[in-house]
Amino acid sequence: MALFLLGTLTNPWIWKILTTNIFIGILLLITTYSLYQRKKYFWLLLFFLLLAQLKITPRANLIYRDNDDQRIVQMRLRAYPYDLTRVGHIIEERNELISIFRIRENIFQNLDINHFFFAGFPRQTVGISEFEKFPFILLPFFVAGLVSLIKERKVDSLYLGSFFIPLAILGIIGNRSLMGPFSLFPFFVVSITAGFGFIKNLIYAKN
Amino acid sequence: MPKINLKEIIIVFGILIFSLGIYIYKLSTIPNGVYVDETLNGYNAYSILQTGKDEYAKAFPIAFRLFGSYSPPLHIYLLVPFIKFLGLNATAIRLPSAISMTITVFLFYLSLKKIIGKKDYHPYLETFIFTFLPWSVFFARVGYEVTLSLPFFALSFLILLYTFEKAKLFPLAAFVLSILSYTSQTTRFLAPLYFLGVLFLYRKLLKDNWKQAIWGILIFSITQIPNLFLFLTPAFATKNSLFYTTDITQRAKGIPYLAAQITWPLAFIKEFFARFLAYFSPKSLFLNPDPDPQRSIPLLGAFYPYLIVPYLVGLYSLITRNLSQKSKLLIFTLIISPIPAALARDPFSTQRALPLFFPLSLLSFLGFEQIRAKINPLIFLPLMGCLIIFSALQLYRSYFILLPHERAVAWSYGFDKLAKEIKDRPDEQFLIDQSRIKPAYIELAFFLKLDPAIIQTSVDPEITNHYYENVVFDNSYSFAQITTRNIVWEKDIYQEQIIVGDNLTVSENQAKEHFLTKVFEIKDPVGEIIFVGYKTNPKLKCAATLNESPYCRN
Repeated sequence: MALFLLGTLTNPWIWKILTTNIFIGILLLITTYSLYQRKKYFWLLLFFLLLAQLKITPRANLIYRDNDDQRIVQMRLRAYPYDLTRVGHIIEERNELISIFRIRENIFQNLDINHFFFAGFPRQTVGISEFEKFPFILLPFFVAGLVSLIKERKVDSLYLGSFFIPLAILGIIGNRSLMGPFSLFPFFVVSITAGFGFIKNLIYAKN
Repeated sequence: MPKINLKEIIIVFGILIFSLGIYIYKLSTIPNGVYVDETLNGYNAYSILQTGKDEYAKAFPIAFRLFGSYSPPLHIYLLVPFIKFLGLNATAIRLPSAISMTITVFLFYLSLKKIIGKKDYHPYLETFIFTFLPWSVFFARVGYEVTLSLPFFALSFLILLYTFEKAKLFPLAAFVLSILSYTSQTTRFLAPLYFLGVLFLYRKLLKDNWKQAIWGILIFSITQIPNLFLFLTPAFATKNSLFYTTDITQRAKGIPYLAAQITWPLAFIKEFFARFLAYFSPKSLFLNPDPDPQRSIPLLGAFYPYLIVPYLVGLYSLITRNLSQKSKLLIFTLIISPIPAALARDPFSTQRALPLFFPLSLLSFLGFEQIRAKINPLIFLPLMGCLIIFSALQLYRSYFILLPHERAVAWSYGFDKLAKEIKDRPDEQFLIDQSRIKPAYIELAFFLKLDPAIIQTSVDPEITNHYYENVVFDNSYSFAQITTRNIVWEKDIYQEQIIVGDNLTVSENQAKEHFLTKVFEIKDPVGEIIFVGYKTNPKLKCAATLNESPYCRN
């Protein structure tokens, strides 16, 4: 429990969320605890957390193109050889393809570890509020936790769901929330806590 | 060595021919333009060929001064025969890269086969996909020294894989690693680091085979003598400016309450690891191109996005399995390779981290093999077919259609046309403004195929005499009918010449005020002006200003 509290409360992210919206902060703490304890009602809490994420996050338009985007599209269309012009129109202008590319971009944004531990540094994304979610000194614990959970075969559906479901939802709604992709918070905290446990066991085993 | 059958030879040979085909297709025109780094290498090789000296009249240097960077020499010496037989042109300076990458493809095949180690396993499909990965295609088609480092790096890795079984191969691995340090700036630092790491990783094996260990260390040390000589001169440290000292100092100042002895290392750790991890970030590897438009393909990362799945599976399998020696070597290579790049300021540089892409590809295709083993071939093969077609289309669109169009300026497009304008006006003097244009002297020398003796005589003899000490580069040159430097308005408009700059160099009002007449303009494929030439009219200017300027009285 002490390790869990250490993982949950020693990061600036939770305090930012608690001070911005206390209800979401409390929901987040309970959801994280339920994942840590592997409680079945985690799914229900995750559902509410995702609803909150949906409500809070300004929706990214997956097909909207501003003037500059349109200028670039026109410039690119001119590059296509004459007999490939139709293909060019499909690739550069079809809404379906554009939305797939944008969803992909949103997903990859949240797969970037620097986004969580280094405020996106050194490759910050334009248009997204980047802030340090976890202090970088917690990164070794996160990696150790992830590796130990995988090695000890403790990766269950709850743990996987806590990562992949928010990842998919964030892929569609985007990452423009001022509180960040907080639906991924439980996954990170549980991994960091596992890392604390792993390192602790390592130290005790040596002694 | 593994047994190789005829079928395997034919298929692998077919893949290599295919890869060489992609790498040399429209090689002289895509990328559209010849970048200064390429012309610099090409012209210095031409200079060596013609005179036995580089552009600064230094005979056979151990590191080339190139804009004050003192690059390792192997690439330029290797270019010499290509320029001898193909002439001084884009194809001649890019072809060695295409060949280097084709050799790397072959070494990739052998390395993956060795790592997986299953009987009758032939990574044909993996190697085929490897041939047209965005990073492979991009670096196979540019005349950069760093591409030459790849086959040496891959070969040393392969020899090290075999060294686990035959310790006798260790001296050979040491020799190849040492040669690697003479191929590029990155590997000059990477090779010794890698060698030290290998000594540690193979410590048990080398303890049992101490004679091989001594031979290896001896060979590595002896072949490093030129680098050691360079280490004692300022030429070795020219890349120190790429280190992020200011960023660390600023970050350290932002850490409250702690002493500088603690904050500085903390800030360094943070700066370093943020950069280091960026080289493993899926966003950087599979989605976003290199931030430098000259070092990337529009809309494509270093790998195709779908390869993130085998990449993660590869990582997963490395974590879950009991690590074999081969896996340990792969992990070690993955960790060491991006260190030189992570010590530089850039957020993500594919060029500096190029050696990393070899073990990263191995890791991804290790995961690929795991997936293939678990999925029914009736599902796997059609799925792969679709992904390969989609990837090929993406590559064609981004590299062969968009890159020559929208990255032309980044690739120094238009210097061949400027050279033609100069050639067509043999009686005119040209002043090339250098305030925003990359060093023009080398591009013009390249495209005009200027006699190297002319460039050599235009250089300050002090530079030649103290070649490895004189590290500051000045892009002001004066040779033949060409001067390259920043414009001095008070003086240059009173001299009979053509002033060349970009579209911001001379405004409409300035042209009117100084009686400048536009004589030519050169546009890029998008239609934007890249060079404009204005002819001065000193007589009119002096008359209009009543000979006010001292330059009117001469």
